[in-house]
Amino acid sequence: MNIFGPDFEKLDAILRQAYRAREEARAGTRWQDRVMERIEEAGRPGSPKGLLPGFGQLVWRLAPVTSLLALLLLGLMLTLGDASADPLQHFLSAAEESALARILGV
Amino acid sequence: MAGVARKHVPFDCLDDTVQDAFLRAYRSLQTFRNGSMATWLSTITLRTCYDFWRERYRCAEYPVSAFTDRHQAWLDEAMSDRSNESYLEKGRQAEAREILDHMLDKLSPGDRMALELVYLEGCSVKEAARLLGWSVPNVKVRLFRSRRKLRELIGKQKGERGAP
Repeated sequence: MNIFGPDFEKLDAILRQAYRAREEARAGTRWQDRVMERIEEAGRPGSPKGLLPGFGQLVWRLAPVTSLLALLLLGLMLTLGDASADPLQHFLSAAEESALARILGV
Repeated sequence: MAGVARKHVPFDCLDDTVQDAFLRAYRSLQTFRNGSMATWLSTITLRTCYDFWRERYRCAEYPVSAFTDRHQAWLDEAMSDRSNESYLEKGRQAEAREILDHMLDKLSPGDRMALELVYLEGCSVKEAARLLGWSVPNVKVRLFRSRRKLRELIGKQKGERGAP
């Protein structure tokens, strides 16, 4: 196929040949060093950058523990039966309670 | 990658273009599926070359001027009926490349890439479309447009020189 049409076949052939002769050109090796520098800066492909993605990851990692804790507290509230009752009372012994009362001056 | 890029970008920009293509490939490693790694890398390199011309076109760093007297003389000689053997010499090839680059600079980046792939490298339209990530009709339209523009350029040149 000619670029310039049948009237300019010769010109077409000359320019095509000149284009192909360019394949002899060689890239230097400097780009390889620069690529490695840029890759080291960029880190692994697909890894998140900045503080915000790191915070997001932390939240998701702690999510199961947080959910478990919430469920435990809910269960505790239900077993106590009385919503107005102080949950701390359930854990404290009488001695501890009196000691706390003395400290807090209650 | 350098082998693909050196046909499409000026030699002084070859290093930077290959570097950009390599980094782009590295960042897109996760998108590579089963297939030919060489084809995948060629596609990325070609698209980087296309972006190079788009950027250059946008920045207008490359002034597109009219043919100089030297270019015109060369074209006259090349279009005449003399033997083309002298054009096979290395020095003459550099001149020819200069003229070709000058002509290609008149085209838009997309038209340029399509013309280079199909007419100068001998790819099929379908292959060029796949490499550039365009549809086949899009490549055909670009080829038609670029050829028409180059013919106009040559026709104009011939008319100007032929005029008394």
